[in-house]
This record gives sequence, structure tokens and C-alpha cells, in this order.
Amino acid sequence: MKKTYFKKIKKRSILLLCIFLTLSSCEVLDEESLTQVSTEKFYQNESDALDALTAAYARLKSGNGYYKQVFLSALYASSDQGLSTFLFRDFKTGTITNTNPNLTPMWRDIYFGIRDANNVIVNVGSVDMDEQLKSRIIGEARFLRGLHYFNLVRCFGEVPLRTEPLDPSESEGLPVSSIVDIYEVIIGDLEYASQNCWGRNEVINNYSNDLGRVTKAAAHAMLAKVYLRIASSKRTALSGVEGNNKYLSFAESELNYYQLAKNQCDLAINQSGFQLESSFEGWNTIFNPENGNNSEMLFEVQGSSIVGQGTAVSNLFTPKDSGLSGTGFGGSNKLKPKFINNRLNKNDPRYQYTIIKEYQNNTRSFAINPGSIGYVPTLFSTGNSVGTLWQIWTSKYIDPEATTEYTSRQNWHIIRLADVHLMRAEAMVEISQDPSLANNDFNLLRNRVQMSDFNGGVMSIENFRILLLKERAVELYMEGHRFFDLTRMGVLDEYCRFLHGNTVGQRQPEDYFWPIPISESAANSNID
Amino acid sequence: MLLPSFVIAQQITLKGNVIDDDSNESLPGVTLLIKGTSLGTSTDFDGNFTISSKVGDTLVVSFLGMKTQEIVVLSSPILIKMMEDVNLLNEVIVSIGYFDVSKKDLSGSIVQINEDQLEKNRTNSIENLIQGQVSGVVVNESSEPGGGIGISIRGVNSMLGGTQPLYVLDGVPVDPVADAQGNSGAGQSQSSLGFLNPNDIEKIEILKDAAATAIYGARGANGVVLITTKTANKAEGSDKFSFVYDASITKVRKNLDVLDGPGFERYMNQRNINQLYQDITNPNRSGGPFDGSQELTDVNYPEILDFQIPYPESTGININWQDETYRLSHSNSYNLSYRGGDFKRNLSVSIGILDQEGVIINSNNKRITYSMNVKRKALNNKVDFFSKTNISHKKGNAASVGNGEIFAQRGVVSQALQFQPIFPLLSVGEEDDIYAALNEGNIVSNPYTLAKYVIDEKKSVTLRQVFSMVSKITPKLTGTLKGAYNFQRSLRDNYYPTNTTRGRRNNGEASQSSIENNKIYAEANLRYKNRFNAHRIDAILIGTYEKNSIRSLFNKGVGFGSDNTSFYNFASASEIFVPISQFREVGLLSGLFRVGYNFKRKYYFDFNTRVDASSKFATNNKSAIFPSIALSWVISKEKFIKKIDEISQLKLRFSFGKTGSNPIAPYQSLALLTPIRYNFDNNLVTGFYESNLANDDLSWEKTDQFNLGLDVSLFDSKLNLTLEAYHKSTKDLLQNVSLPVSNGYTSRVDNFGKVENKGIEFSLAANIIETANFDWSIRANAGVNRNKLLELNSNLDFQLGPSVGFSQANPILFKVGQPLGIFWGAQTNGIYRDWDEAIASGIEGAAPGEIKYINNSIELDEFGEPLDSQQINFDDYVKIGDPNPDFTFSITNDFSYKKWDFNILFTGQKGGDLFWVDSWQLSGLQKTTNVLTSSFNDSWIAPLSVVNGEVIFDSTTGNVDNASHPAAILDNGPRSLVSDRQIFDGSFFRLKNINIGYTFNLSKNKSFRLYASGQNIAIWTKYPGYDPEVQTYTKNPQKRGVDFGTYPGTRTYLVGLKIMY
Repeated sequence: MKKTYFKKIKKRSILLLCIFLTLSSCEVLDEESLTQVSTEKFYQNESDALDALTAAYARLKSGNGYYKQVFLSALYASSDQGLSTFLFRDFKTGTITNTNPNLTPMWRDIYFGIRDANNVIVNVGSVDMDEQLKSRIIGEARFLRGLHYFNLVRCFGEVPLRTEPLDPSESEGLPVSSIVDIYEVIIGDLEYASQNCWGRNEVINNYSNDLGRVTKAAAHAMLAKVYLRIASSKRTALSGVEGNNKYLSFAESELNYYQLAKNQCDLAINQSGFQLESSFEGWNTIFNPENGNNSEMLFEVQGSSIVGQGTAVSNLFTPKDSGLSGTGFGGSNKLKPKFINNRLNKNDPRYQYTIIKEYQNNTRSFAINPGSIGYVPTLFSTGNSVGTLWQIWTSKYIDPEATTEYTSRQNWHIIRLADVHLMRAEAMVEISQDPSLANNDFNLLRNRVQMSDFNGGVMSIENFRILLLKERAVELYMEGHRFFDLTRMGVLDEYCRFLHGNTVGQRQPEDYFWPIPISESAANSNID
Repeated sequence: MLLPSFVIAQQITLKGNVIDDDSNESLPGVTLLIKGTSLGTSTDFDGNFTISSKVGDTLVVSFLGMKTQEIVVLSSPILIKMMEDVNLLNEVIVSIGYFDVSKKDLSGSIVQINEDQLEKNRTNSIENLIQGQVSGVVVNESSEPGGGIGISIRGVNSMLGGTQPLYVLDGVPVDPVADAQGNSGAGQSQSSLGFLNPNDIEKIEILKDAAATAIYGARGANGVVLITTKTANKAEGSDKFSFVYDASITKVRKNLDVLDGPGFERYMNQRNINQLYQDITNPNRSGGPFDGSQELTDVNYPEILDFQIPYPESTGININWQDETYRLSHSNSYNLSYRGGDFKRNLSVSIGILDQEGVIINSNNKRITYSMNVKRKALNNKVDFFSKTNISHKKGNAASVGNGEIFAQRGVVSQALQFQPIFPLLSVGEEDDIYAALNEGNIVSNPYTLAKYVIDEKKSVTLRQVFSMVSKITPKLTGTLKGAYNFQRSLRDNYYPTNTTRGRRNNGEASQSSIENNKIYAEANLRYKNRFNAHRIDAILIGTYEKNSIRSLFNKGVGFGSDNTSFYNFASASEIFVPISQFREVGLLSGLFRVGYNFKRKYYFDFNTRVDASSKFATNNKSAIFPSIALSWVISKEKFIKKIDEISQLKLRFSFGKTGSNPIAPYQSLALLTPIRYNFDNNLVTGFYESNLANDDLSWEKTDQFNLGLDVSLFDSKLNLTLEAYHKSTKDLLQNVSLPVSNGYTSRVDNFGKVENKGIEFSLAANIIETANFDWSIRANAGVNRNKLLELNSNLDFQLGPSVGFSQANPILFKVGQPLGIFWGAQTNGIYRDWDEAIASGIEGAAPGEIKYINNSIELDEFGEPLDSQQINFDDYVKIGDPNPDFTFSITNDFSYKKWDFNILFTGQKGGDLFWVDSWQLSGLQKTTNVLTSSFNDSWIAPLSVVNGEVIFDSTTGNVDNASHPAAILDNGPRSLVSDRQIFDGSFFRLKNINIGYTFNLSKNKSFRLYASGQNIAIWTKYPGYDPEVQTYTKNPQKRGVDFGTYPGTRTYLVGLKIMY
């Protein structure tokens, strides 16, 4: 080969050069990073395996949020709950194009997470270490990868499916995979996780499963969510919802998926370690900033008062200068009265006790109005109250001890036990087409907050579905589930138009997915 | 010595010995010629010669570098002592890198800027000195004190490689002054040569073609700038003092015309009026649209009930924020120097103090420079010792010019234009939350507060010591040993106090950053010069060793609560971030062999080859060979031209060579892990992730360059013309190749692609009038460069550039077949006049008063029919501009009349589009921030008016048909797309420099000169921003032609005096 001949010449010329400048100086050409570790020397032992896994977790909160702060706000703006910032206007109106500046950061963080998880899954297998710990580590990484792909497939639909680390010499991008293939990986990952992750705080061979790590229960719950999504999306697609057409490719019937979802819910609920708070008082503490990783929270992105470990979630959802979220611009994610009046029962304590009822900033105090749909501001200087601010702040994310925008101790709740009960109720009703089968799970959640019993025996399945969305709204509002609930139930465009009116772009029934960002398609010749 | 003519010529055999007068060593190869004949010989290895001659013949003894002697033959044997020729026959000596040659012997394209030219341009930075002096060299303007200035020589041929040439100071490559935070934006980059005092410069040489730059092989691809500091070599035994004092005033060249208070209120009112009109005429309006025929009452149109204009009465406030933020600035510079000794031992010392104010309040730059050059001929004059020392200290405040990455932290300049003129300056103790109302509820600092209170202090210390030893091993063989140490430390400290946007957000934010570079350089070279009759050889062998150890540290803390301790003390910070530290070591080994040959100084042949090995590349690709050849032919020495008296010199030059580039960060070829932190239930853990993708093939970026040059001197060298044509082809471009993000990496540094630059350069120097009292000379330069990206990655035909501006748009594109870094975006075609036109377009968001984007790519449904609802997206984008200038030129006129001298310099450019980020707001009329008066005047205005609170329709009013800017409106459509509306022609013609002086000659070598000069006195351009030459990312080849709140262009008047004693 001509090339090797040249290489020889080059090597000789270096040697000549070194002789010319005395041999010792050739060391100057050797390169070793002083501040970074070489990949070749990594994945050797248990500690390396754990470190690699830690990085995969850390990716969940790059930039102090869940995939930075962009993901939560984008999900919020895409739903029908209320006001968001103008930066997410296109998500609200359904006019997102592939050059939207918010798409790239989310896409990037998710795929970084997949990269880090792939590195653990592929490299840790050959590390010589405690076998149970090894399976746990791989299980945790597979849960994370499953979660990343689940987020991708729900937001973007068909995406490139990379399940192995990139070979540096083959850096071409992958084409998109069908959602069936993507779900197959997600399900495989979550199943593996549900079998190999450990219980909450479980100790095996002197290794402890720290709070905040993935557990068996979290994996089962997430798997239930996956099956329920496939089931309900396929159901609505069959009934003509265009946005879910891609789910028609799933071979099995939606009933089978509902059944799988129900089974996973049972498995999640029956895992030891997690349980619902049974009393009102107990329930009323689950969103406290110091009560992170409580026994209802199946999986959370971790916030902490440790330097650099705070989150920005308080700031995204809390009024500025009110002492509830540190400094910063304050949140732009607020509930709109139309949502409160129509999409949930505002007398439910799960609403009444998780909203901010009064707050103050430097110049004014704000008190909730009698309808619980706005605040009446009063100027300190004059004592006068003028007008009403038609918006409501949630108190699910406040942290009065946060000092800056990024120092909240609040965790971001990815999935919690109450959601599993609501999912089980939904699955059971859909399997048997009998709304009364939701009674048990619904009432478990209602009774502890002193709400009257729900009785599904008296309603049609259609009415149940509307009520289910209301029940999910009051329990889970502003927790990042709403957009996904609206899409899988096939009502996204209807609900959003109801709330926002016919906005400029007019959300179309087929607008269920966000486009793949230009930053990907421009560099990937397999995607146009 | 005359001999009596009757003495009969006696034939003798003349024997002799030639020695060097300095060292008393024999000189081999000395040419001896009997005058008037072709008889001659040369000395042997011991300096001996034998020649048969007649008594009374004149023997001409010559040797390169020595004074030629004529000796009358009297008797044999004789001893001839040769003296070193200090002035080398009054020839212009050009440094070509490691050594000097006579300008006549040049084959490469090298341009020298001499002391005379430098003297006239009273500027504070070296880069400015080069401006307008050399064809093919484009120097961006910077008005920021100490700010970075970009230079490109013969176009841009690199993406990561930068456009910056290699600077070599007194023979040692310079490491440009680095910004401690590693940023390159406006207010962030620093002048590469900020440590040098222009008053210390003797000459600058610019190496353009490969024959010239190949001497620096690996780093010569962007051209080389050689800087030589003043020595006392020509002091000739006297003691010379000089003192120079310059005082200058600078102001912003022009304020941009944005709306004043009442105008802004009209703008705000118009937003509501236009909105009402758009609402009631909307064809989808329930109750039917208003078409002019209905009665406009609140019964028919309940919208009117809600309607009100925000400023029915004026607030009476009218603040011109540009006036508040900019000032007339004063600068002083003092330089004192001593030069003395003779060419055997001499000393040159100079001290310079610069105290420069920026036109933005609170921005400044202070600099102290010290330089000392010493020479001593030692050991019986056999060895020359040189020591060159530069020390500088620089300190300045940048006044928050740069636009921060946080959307609300606009920089001072952007804010001076956009901040609402109806807000007053704050009185003491007043909170700026009054500003929130018109800034989307955000408390935004006014530009005065930003400039006044944000601390952005930059300091740098540079120490350079060069020591060299030059020894004549034999008369024809010279050996040089050179060692240099360069220490550079840059600091940058920031504090955003709680009364500024960013400080409020974080309750006070402070950072301290530092970067330190220790460089060791060593060089050994051997030079052999000889002459065999008409053949001359000049060969050199060089080896160099270079090692940089760089360390940096970045600390940041937030949550101070009190601004009292500024950035000085982190103890009161409530959160201190994990410090970011970097340690880097970079090594470069090089060997160079060069041989120059000429025959009768008529035919020249130069061959050069250099081997470079850099630590930055992959293990098997560290070294590369960079050869070059050059041929030249002095046609004027041929007989057929010699006859033509008008031609003094005619020289044709050709060269070809390879050069390289490696200015990437180290460790890019390695697969590396980076630490990252997380916590589990409040227990901190650290993990590692794979952050760098390995690249086993990472190698040099290489440029092949052809050059064809023609030098013509006419009429006793009164008219000198140089024409050059070149073709540069750069391949294996080092670039941050974008990877599909789904691969898990956004980019990696890789060799990809090919860029071509070709061009023509022209320069002319003419002495038009030369009389005893009056001289007039002209120098003119012009350069044309065409740049084209020939290949990108194997499978892609375009790559997105980096994002620019707050909306993170990507206006810059690298596309095959196009120049590098073109602007890419939506095409526009005016403004929609009414709903009919808007709806007919079928485009989402189209409405009266909105921008008409051209839908170049129609979206189709599955049946191939156009979708009802069309989007303007990336598929519709086209090329909307090109930042590469079509051509650049400059003209200098020098006049002298008796003791007066006068000098005037014009520079200009055709083409070179600019992307003006601020025009998005200033002409987009999107928000409640201020806009350009002209944009509002030409905007779409509804035919509605409000008289005494009553809404009146009159179809003859408003501006619906001829609007060139969109409507001021509450709910505006898509206006943040990158489009041709943000692209402006950067052509200009500038009166760059004008200089007038008067010299009093006191006595020999003593003089007193008074002068006045003006810089940027006038400019003719269509560019609506501050200055077409001032760009934001001066040194970033990926973001060329961007103006994003850049320090405004300025005009300077200067008076000064120079005393030579």
C-alpha cells in the first residue's frame, strides 16, 4: 500500500528529527490527558462500573432539570393546562418546525443518556465483579435506556434506534426505526430491569441499593405505562385518531396490551418497600422538598442542597421573588382558569392543597380569589387591590430554602405509585369494559384525601374515559403526564383548542409528534 | 594611488590570502576579478589565491555580506582584509523567517511594512498597523480598547484552523494573548498581540505565498506575520533618546436612529391599533369581517370595547440610551526609549504607557510595556550574543459588551439600541423592576446600569525572553543557537451585581478565571553561504523544539446577597460551583532544510522542505512533510530588456508549496472520559462518561498553494508594480464535524473536506513628484479572493454552522460549491397587505402586516397535492448572503513639503455581507423594545386612527401597500426566522487615516516633530448598523460576518509629539 509506505517515511522523518534534536525530546510528542481518563483504562472493576452508571443517571438532570429545563416546559406547553413562556409558543400552537431551537437540546440530552446507558450495558458485562451487583447495574442502565427511548417515541415517533456504543470508525447516522421496533427495545429493557434491579433500599452481599436508584417496582410501573400507552393509542387509532396511526402496526390486540399493563401494575404495587400514604396528613407531605424519595415516589430525578445538585424545577413552576424558589425569573408554567374549571374537580383536596394560596413579592401580596382560579394582588405601598391575575401556581415544587434558580431540593417525579393505581384502574375497565372496576383504585386515592367514593357502575365507557382524564388531571397535573395522556387518548387537538382557542397555527389532529430536529437530519444522511 | 604612466606593465603572478577583518580567519570562496577583464579566481579553503596579473591592474574582491574592495596590484604576495558590510549595499533586507535576505533575491511573495509606514499610523495595536498596507490582507476593525482583531490573508481556508496568521516576533512564534474564559465573542476576545507596543516595532513582514510560508510549514497555511522590534544596530556610536506622546479623543462615529420617547409611544399605540384592525378584518371572525363598508361601532364590533391605546397621553420621558451609554473618551500614550552603542555592542530600551478609555462608559485598557534589546559581539568578534526582552502588563474593563447566553442578558450595545426611551435612568435606591412591564415581565437592566456596574476585568502579564548566539564557524558557515521562554498569564474576573439582570437572577454572580501558558522554545540552525563565480548558494538547516504547558482555572459563585466584596471573595457566596481546571501540554518538533541557488542573480531556484511533528494528532499521524519550491527570473537582466531604459526591474516569480495547520485543542484523537456528578438521596456520587470519540486518523490540515508573481519597476524605480495570482487548495480540513446526535456525540474533530481560494493581488507604489521641497508618492493595493467549499463530509453536501443570536438560529451554512460560511435562511418579499393576500399564500401565520416569506418548497400530502397549510421551514431556505468580500482595496498618499509631511489612507471593500442580529428586533417590530425609526416609518400601518378615544377608519390613511417592514402588532406571526431581512451589504469606502506632521530639525540627529491625525474620519456605506468592518466574532472562522451587539465603530482624533535627542 502506498499509504503505509508514506507512513514509514513519516516515521523515519520523525526519528531523524528526534536524533537531530536529541532523542529525549521526542517525548514531547506523546500525548496523555492530565484531566481526563482514557477509555482504554476504564471498565476494569466494580468501581468503574458504578461510575459509568452514575454518569448515565447524571444525564437525566444535565442542566439542573429533566433533560435540562426544556423538556418539562415543552411537555407543559404542548398540553392544555395553561400558560407557558413565549419560548415554547410553537409547542402550544402545534407549529413546531425542525429548526425550533428547543428541540435540539432535548434530543441531544436524550441521546447522550442513551449513549451513556449503552456504554454501561455493553461494557460492564465483562467486568469481573459481584454478579448480582453487575446484573443490577446493567438493569438500572437498561431502565434508563428504556425510559429515554420511551420519551423519544412518545415525543418524536420514529427515531434512530442505537443500542450499542458507536464504533469510532463508523460514525454514520442510523435511519429511523419503526415504533414497533423501538417499543420492542423499550419493553426488553424494562423487563430486564424489572427482573434484575433490586428492591427499594435492598441490601445484597453488603451492597446497598441507594434510595433514588431504579427498583424492580419502578421498572414494573414503567413497563405498565408502556403497555398502557400502546393499548390506548392503538384503541384510539382504530377509532380514527390520525395522530396515533403508527400504533396500528402493533400486531396484538389492544386488549392484550391492556392486560399486560394490568399485570405490570399488580407487580409494581405488590413490590415491597413502596406504599401509599394512607392518611390525609401523610399525603399532604409527599411534595415537600425535604421529603424526596418518599415511599410513594417510584422513580425521581434527584435534587439536593449539595452544591451543584439543585434542580431548577422550583423556578419553573413558582412565582418569582416570592421566596418559594430562590431567585431567578420565576416560572412561566401556570394553570389557566379554563383548565381548572373544566378539566379537573377544583374542590378536590388534591387540587386545593397543592396550589399556592398566597404569596408576596417585593411590592405586592397575592391572595387566591374565591373561585380558586386567580390571585388578587394588593400593593403594599397603598394597600389597594386592583384586578385579578387569572392564573394559578402549583405548590408541588416549592422550595423556600432554595437560594438561586438552580438550588432547589425538589426532585422531579418521573413516576409515582398513585399513577400506577390510576393505570391499573384504566386497564381493568378497558379489559372488561366495566367502569366499576376502577372503583377500588380510584377510591384508594380519593379516600385518603377525604374525597367521596367514585362509582363507575353508573356510567358509560365513554364517560368513564372523560372522568379518567379528570381524575388523572387532579392527581397528576403539572407532573409531565398530561401531554402523553392527551395523545394516547386521542384528544390532544380537541382539548388544546378548547383551552387555547384557534391559535395561529391551529393544532391539527395529526400533530402528535414533534419533528426530528435539523441538527440531526443535517448530519445524518439516512434521515431527510 | 596613481602610478606614473610610463611604468611598463609588468606581468606578475599574484599570490595572496584573504581574511575576515573581524575574526582574522581565512575566507574561502572569495571572488577576485581583474577589473575590465573576465580574468578571475576565488580563494581556496584556506583563503589563498593565485592569479596572474599586471602591476597596476585593479583587483575587485567581493564576498557576500562583505564590502567589495578594489585593490591596485603592486606586488605579491598580499594580504586582503575583508570588512563586514553593515548596510549590505543599501539593499532592502527582508526577513523571511529564520534569516534575512536581500529583497532582490526574493522569490516568494513577501511584503514589508517599514518603520516609515508604521510611524505615520498612530494606533495602539499591531493589527491596526497592518490595515490597508498589504494587498490580500483583510483586517477587521475593532474599536474596543484591547479588543480582538481578526486578520485573514488570502481568504479563509479553514474552519477550526482559524483565519489568524502565525505571528513570529523576533524569530520566535507568538502565542496570542488568550482570553482566560476562552471566548471569542465581542467584548471577549483579546488582541492577539496586545502585549506589544507599536512604538517598538521596526518592521513587519507579511509572508503570503507557500514559498514564503512553507518555512513555517505546519503553521503557515494562514500566512505568517514577522515582527521585528527596534534595536540599536544602526546607532553608530551615538546615544539616542526619543520621547513620544500621543493624546487622543474618540467618539462613536454615529448614533443609530432609533425612536425617541414620543416616537416609541406612537409605536406602542400602533401595536394595538394594528391588532384591532387585523382582528376585525379577519375573514374567520365570528360575525363577519370588517371590509370598510360597515359602520365601525362597538355594537358591530365588540372588540372595540376592549380596545385602548397604552399611551393616550405622552409620558413626557425621552431618554436617548445611546447618549447615556457612550461617551467621548480620552486616551494618552507615553513612550520613552534609549538606543545607543555601535553595531558591535548596543542597547535599546523602551518603556511605553498606554491609558486608553473606551467609548462605552467604564470600558478601558491600560498597558505598560517594557522592552530591552542587547547585542554584543564577543570572543574576538566571533560570536554575536543577542538578548531580547519584552515585559508587558495589561489591565482593562470590558463593560459587559458581549451578549450573554442567557436570553435576557443583552449586552450593553444591543441594549443601548433596544431599551425603551420612555424609561428614566434610575435614581439612587430605585429598583429597576419598573422596567419589567415592557420586557415580558422580566426585570431587565438598562444599558447604563449594565455598562456601569457589571465588572468584566481582564488582565494579562506577558514575559518574553529570547536569547541567541550567532557564530561564524567559518566565513561561509554560520551557526545559530536560540532559546526563548515565554510566560503569559491572563486573568478575567466578572461580577454581576444584584442590580443587573444576571446578578438579580443569581443574587450576585462572580467568576474568576485564569489561564497560564509557559512556553519553551529552542532552535539550532546552520547556514551556509557560498559563491562560485556566478553561482550563489544559500543553504540552511534548522531544528526547532517547542513546548507549551497551559493551565487554566475557572471558578464561579452565586448568591452573594451583598455586592460589597464583588468577585474578590467567594466566602460569602451561597453556592460555589465545582471549579473547572484544565492542564494541557502541547509539543511541536520541526526540522527544516532550505537551499537557495541563483545564477548571476538572474535565475533563482529555492527549495525548501520542512518536517513537523505535533503532539496533537493521532499516534501514527503526528508528523508531516511540507515542501516548497520557488523559481524566479529577473527578466530585466536579460540583454533584450536591458536596452529598454524605462524598465529598471522586471521579475517573474513562481512558487508552489504545501503548508499545514494544527490549531486544534490537544487530546482530540483520544477516547476520553469526563467526570460528572449526581446524588442519590442527597449523597454525592461522581461518575465518568465517554465524552470524546477516538479518532485514530486525526492528522494535519494541508494547503497546496501556487503563486505567480510579477514585479515591475519602471522609470528608475519610481513606479513599482506587483501583480500576484494564487491558487490555494486546502484539504483534510480540521473541523468539528457534526455527527448525527443520535450517535451520542454532537461532533468530533476530524479531517474532512476541501476548500479552494484563488485570487489576484495588485499593488503599486509610485513616486509621482520628487523635488527638493515637495514629494508625493502613492501606494495602492487591491485584492480579489474567491473562496469555495469543494467537498464536505463524504456523504453530506451541507453542514449547519453554529447558532448565533438569542433564538439559537443557525444562519450560517457550509455548503459544497459555495463560499465558506454563507448565510442561509428564508427569502422574503415584502409584507402582506391584507387578508386576501395572506390567505392566498396558504402559509401558516400569514396575516396582514406580516412578513411575506417565499415558500420555495411546497409540502405535499400523500397524494402529491399541496397541503392546505404550508410551513416555512428549512426546506424553503436559500442562500441569502455571503460574508466573503468580492474585493478589498486601499490607497495611501504621502506628501512632504519642506518640513511638513502629510499622509492619507483610504480603505474599501466591495461585498462581504453582514448578518446583523439586532436587526431582528430593531426592524422586526416584534416586541415592546425600541426599533429603528426608519423601520417603523416604513412599517405596515392599518388604515385606522384613534381620535379622542374614537376609532376611525379611513382607507386613505395607514401604510398598507408600500410597507417594507412588518406591522407593529401585539400577536405577531413568525418573525424570528433567519431571513434575508437580517442580511446587509457590507461594502464600504473609508477614510481610514489622515496624518499631518511638522518636523523641527534642531541639530544632527536631534529633532522635534509635532503631528495630528484622525482615524475613521468618514465612511461611505449602506450598512445600517454601526460599522460594516466591526464584527463580533473576529477570530472565529465559523461565525464570520456577524454583528451581534458589537462595540460600535468610532472616530478618533489625535495630537502628538516626538522628540528625538
